[in-house]
Amino acid sequence: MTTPGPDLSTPEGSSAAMSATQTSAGPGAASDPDGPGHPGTLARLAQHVHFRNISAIYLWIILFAIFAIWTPGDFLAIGTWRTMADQEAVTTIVSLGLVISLSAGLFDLSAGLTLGASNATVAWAVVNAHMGIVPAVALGLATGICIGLVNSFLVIELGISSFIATLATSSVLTAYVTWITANQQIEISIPIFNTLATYSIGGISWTFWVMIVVGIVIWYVLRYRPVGRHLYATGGSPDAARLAGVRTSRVTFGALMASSVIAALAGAILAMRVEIGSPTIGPPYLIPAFTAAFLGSTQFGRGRFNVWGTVIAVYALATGTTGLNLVGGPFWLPDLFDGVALALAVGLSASSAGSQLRARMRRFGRRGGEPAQPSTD
Amino acid sequence: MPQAIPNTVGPPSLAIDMVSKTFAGQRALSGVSLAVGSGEIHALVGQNGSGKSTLVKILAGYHLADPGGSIKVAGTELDASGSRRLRGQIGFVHQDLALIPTLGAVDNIAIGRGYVQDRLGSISWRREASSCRRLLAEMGHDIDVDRPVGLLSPVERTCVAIARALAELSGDARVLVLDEPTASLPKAEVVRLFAVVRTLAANGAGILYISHHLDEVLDLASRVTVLRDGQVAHAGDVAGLTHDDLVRYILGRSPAEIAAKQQTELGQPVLKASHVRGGARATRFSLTVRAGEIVGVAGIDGSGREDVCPLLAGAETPDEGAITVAGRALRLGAPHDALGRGLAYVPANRHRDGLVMSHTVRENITLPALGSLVTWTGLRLSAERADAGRWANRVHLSPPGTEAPVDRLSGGNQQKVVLAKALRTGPKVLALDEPTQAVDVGAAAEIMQLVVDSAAHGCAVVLASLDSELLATYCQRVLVLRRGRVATELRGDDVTSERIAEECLRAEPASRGAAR
Repeated sequence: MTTPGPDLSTPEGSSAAMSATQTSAGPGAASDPDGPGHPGTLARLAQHVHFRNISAIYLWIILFAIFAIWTPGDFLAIGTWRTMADQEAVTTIVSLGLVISLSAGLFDLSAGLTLGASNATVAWAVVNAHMGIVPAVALGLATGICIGLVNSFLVIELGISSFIATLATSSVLTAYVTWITANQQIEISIPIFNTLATYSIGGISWTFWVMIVVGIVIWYVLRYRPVGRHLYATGGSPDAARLAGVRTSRVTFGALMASSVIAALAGAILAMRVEIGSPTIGPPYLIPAFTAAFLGSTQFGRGRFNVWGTVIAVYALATGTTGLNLVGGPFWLPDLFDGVALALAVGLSASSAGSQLRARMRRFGRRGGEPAQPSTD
Repeated sequence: MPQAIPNTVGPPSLAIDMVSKTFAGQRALSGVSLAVGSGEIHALVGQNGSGKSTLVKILAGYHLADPGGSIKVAGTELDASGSRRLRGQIGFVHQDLALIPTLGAVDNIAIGRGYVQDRLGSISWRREASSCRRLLAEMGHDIDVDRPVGLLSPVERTCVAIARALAELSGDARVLVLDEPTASLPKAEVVRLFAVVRTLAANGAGILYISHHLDEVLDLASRVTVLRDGQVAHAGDVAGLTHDDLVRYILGRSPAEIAAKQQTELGQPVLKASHVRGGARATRFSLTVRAGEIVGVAGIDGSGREDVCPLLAGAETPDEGAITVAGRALRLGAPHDALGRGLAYVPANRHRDGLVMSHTVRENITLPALGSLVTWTGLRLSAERADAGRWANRVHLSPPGTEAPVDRLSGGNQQKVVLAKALRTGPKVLALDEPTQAVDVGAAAEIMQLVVDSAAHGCAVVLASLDSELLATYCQRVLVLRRGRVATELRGDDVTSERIAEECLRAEPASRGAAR
């Protein structure tokens, strides 16, 4: 497979070279492009479009070019792109929820099953409890709220690491989903769902537009509201954030709630879109959603989890997998591709973005989500 | 104070001759020469940016020196501008020690050098342990070599780091570079580390000792080299030098006459803490600070001095007591409430508590008070940038850029950011915990000048520090803590560095030894 090979193997490829670039940033700080000086517009533009800064966009362009040449008939068909926009919207929404919790330094491993639980609840409410669509969706979102409350309780009050707490919740949710669906697929055959399944705006499925709206809202909050700063500060250093007056417990609570409710929203959308509630629908979303969030965090140079990097990551990866499907690659190839692309993209963004991500991962390993009491030494 | 041991200085173990270094057209070092004899403790001092760390990095083989100079260890030229690594020729101990806390001394030492293996390739633990014990015994410490180093005392850990550096040396000549080895040591432990360093020197090691603490230099070193602007500003014997002499060489000018403690009248009491008790040592104290007043908090480590500011600021939750700022009670243990009521805190550990290290200068400065930058459309990023820029100038950040992540800044600049962050909230009370710790002389003076200025504008300041000189210089009153209690309060003419030190170390009647 010639796909990402040649273009991703920039000189920074090896880990040794990577740490060298990283450490040499220190003494060179005087001439740092981040400095106060006003570099020429061209220089700044060059910075912005540097491979390290937006590797996923380059990945996307390369993949696009490869498949456009390889199988232009299928790949360039508008239908292919409509399908992709539609199919990936749900993954993207889950991923955007994860952007919030990850920014605050929290792992929400229950996101996949939260989606599943909400999906099953909506289907159950419509089919078994004969509810209308609005109360059913509300019930699905309420599932998300409950899960968020449980996660928050475990992480904030009991001081369990978010990684472990949400793993535990996931297992409980598996039980819930199996129970409520009686371990069977619930098929929804109700007129309004039939309409929604195929409804589109401007030729693109409505789910895509929901994703865009969710994205804009989260982007705005992260960038333009103080709470966005509070999220990043809590994720960056919980002790320093707390002492700077950030109420880190509240931030943690909000982040866990947001990520659960957004995953539940994705689950409800999925129920409307595919007209089923299924006990196995949730978990397959977890890894792609995390993949996109991490890949997205290496974009735009800051090493922070961010909305548009994540959206681009999802669609860059989807372009690859769609293309591979079209050229008749084996069925296991897309997963292989996702994994390799993530490892390469994160590894090669050898700028501060990559190193910040690595630093953050080390911190995740060390502590729980909530800095309940600062240690006194 | 024990005098520096008059060493019989042998042939130079380490001879640096006319070493220069240019970064992107800028001279970081120009023609620096320095010689460390066998058995000599040679101090290297200078402000941040003086070229000190560049020189250390050249010695470590991290930077290549410009062609032209030479570095010799025991008379053998090291190819500083070529490819040959200096590793194995000079031993380094950095301030963070870089030990693996969960492993014992044996493993920590062997990991760098490689384990001694027998013919079958298995590790010979007995030989490892005995060579490790021998190295540590040389320093006069009998350390359990299998005990995880994280459980050792700070000085013992430093010994292990030194032993590791020695074990990595391949030649016979012992040249050690100790880079700020006392930065994280309590005062009492510093004295014990000095004994170790003197023992090493007496056994023939040549030691280059780098420190911001000029007292240590005067106490320990026999010779000193002062770097300023990449050049040797002074080199010579320590005997006969005073603290002020050194400061003058470092700054290139006389230490600015610090305006004698301002005798401005004090305003109303702003901060009142009554019967506060808390912290790891169950420290108890009561404290009233008036507007414009700078009150010092002194005490050795473990005395409770280190609890006062965290308890006031809510970083630690007091078990009991009441704190009011301008008459309004604070919620105990709630930093956001303290900040909201006008109490800003500069924590002792700036890396962990003071700054979000991966964030930019701007984001750190504005984090505690984003409210003023928010309109109905959200944060005004351009206003934020301008505001952060103003504060960067006000605290003399150099360079004054606000978009660099703070982890790229020097220690002094980082501390200025912490201070800017606190001052920007417009505090009525400043709780400062070791504000000049691990900061060079110039930055420390600038930081304290800002503190004095805010006091002059009516801020009530609590200044907790180990540094009795600092307290004596700036405080009108000093509380001395011993064993978790306020043992005494010094006022007026009693506020001298000698009196503070004496009171800190005075044995309590019926006490079982002062420090832990």
